Amino acid sequence: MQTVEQTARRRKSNAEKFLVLMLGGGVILAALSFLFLRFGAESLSLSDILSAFFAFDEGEFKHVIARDIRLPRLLADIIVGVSLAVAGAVMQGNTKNPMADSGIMGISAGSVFAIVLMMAFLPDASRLERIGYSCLGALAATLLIYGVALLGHTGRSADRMVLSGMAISTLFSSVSSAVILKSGNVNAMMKYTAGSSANTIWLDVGLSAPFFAAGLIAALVMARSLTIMGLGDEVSRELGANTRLIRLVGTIVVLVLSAIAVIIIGPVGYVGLMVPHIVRHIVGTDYRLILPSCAVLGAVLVVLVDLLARVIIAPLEFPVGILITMIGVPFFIFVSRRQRGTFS
Amino acid sequence: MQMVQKREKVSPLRRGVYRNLWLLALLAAVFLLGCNTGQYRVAPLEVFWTLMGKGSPTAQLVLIEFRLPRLCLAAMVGLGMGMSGVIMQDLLHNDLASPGTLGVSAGSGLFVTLYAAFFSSQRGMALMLPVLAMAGGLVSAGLIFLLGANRRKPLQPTRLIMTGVAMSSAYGAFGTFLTLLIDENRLEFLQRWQSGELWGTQWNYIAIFGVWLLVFLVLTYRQSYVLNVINIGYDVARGLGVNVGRQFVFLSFCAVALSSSSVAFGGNFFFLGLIGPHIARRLVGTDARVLLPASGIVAGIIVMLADMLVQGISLFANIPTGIIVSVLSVPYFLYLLIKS
Repeated sequence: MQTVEQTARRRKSNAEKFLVLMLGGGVILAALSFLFLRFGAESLSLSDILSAFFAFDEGEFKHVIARDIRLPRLLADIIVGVSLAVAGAVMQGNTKNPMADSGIMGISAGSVFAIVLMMAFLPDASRLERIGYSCLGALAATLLIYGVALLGHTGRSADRMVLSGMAISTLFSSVSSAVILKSGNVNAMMKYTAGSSANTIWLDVGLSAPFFAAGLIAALVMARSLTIMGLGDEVSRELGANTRLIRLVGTIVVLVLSAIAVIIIGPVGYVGLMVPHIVRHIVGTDYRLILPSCAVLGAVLVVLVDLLARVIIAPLEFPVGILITMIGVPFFIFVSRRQRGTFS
Repeated sequence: MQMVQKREKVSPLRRGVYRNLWLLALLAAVFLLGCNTGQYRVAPLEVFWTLMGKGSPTAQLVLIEFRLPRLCLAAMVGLGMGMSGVIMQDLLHNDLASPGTLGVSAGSGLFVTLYAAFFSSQRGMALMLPVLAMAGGLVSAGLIFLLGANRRKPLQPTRLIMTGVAMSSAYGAFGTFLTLLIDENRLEFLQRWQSGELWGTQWNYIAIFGVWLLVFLVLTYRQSYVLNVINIGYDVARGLGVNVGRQFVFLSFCAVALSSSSVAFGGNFFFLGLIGPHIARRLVGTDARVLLPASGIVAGIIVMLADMLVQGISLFANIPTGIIVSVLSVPYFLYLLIKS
């Protein structure tokens, strides 16, 4: 049995670790952001970057690169990293499945399917409509996933969830490729499905920001409820939590955040798996600490990978989605080796 | 007493044999129907005469050059995948194992992609493809065992499958990366191939595929007794004097060989190796001696039907057959997940 004192001490040490993580993550993120603005196909000096922000000159090529190409892309990467990591954490808390991730479970594939359909049949749709379609696709996939999970007798074993997610992704992505092949625009759409934030403009950032902010705030507000959900349905009901409402809100948050990420960068998996796992090891099981830490570490991860993707084969670019998958797969195998058959 | 027992033991096998014959008849019927599907109609009787070599020149051209190779290829791809799925499921005692879910076909696919991306001289491709696909399949099967199995613990099939799923996505990512490096004609070929297009529809490809398939078919079928015993349990098999380790490796090798040749010539049919055995098991039971052929035939029928949809319905024209197979089989797979 744990004494009250021990629990209190552990909570205090978790809070200290949380502070260190947030501060350290913030500093690293700032440093990475600077490097992100500085390096790439064209290297900029510190004075170029500073004058791009404080004395912007439209004629100066380097200023345009810094302010209108790299900065929106940096912000997009941060939005994607935060969204995916937070969505992963919320999803894991919601489904009590440690392998949950919007990419692995097929939600991103649903979004991509909706966007591919839109690109093929409604090429004139505005960027705002794109967000709507992406959310609709994510919704379709989510309904399927929950349908399979709820109809099953064995409950939600982690392995089965991953397999059903894989089947749902396959379904959506094979229909997507049928549409791509039919529409004849193979090259552009393939580039999109590989995952890259290279074409982000200020408009994208501006349009997705409100949805992103709303999703993030909702996640942070429900953090306490998620922690309670971790104790099991019955205990949380006894503690007065409305488990249904929490699940519903959590699902909507996951949906919106992953749909935003897909619009900006395409289908990118594994961020939502990796970041919460690492974070849980450091700060424990309290979602009030987990969610903000996930946000910071998720942003650090995606900015870092995108920086690498632009630098390693400069002036060409490596697709970010592929690079993240290559980091994520070993991680996934590592996690699934450590984990026992079902999550308890 | 002994007589009764013996009769009871024989009868499911005999029933399985009859059902296999029925399936074979169904396959033949679908084949004939397939000969008749498409823009140009060939009446069944005319099909017969054309096959005998006495048809009109147009019918001759359409049938011999276009439809027959495609149908043969479809049936053979199904046969390879269906049998390979049975072997994997029996070996691992898990009905979610298959070339697709274990990542073996994705591994074969990656090697073929590499080859097609960098050295696609048409000459010699027919011979190189199954060998390459086989190498890729073996490498990935080995990797999955290395990563998913633990020397000190008994084999955990779900762990292997999870590893396979993850590895598939890694191969897929790498394949997508390769497709970004190559020019647009090859890109479209690869995109189609990855979603399962029956592309090797030339008689010389089919001949090579056929010989390859036949060799491994016979090798596998001769071990169907071993497969049955292993399916009961590794310890039981060991008790009955089966060298489990050796047979495991040998049968895995056969399974990879069967599935990878299908992947090489037919493309990536993800769920085929999973649902073929399932449907067949419902029809003929679990005895590998009747299950192996039945699963192959069922999978063959599925591919042929999917291909007929592509050929016959103008909305689906030009869509890779594998996509139709996936769309048809994912709901079934989800149903299996829900039920088990």
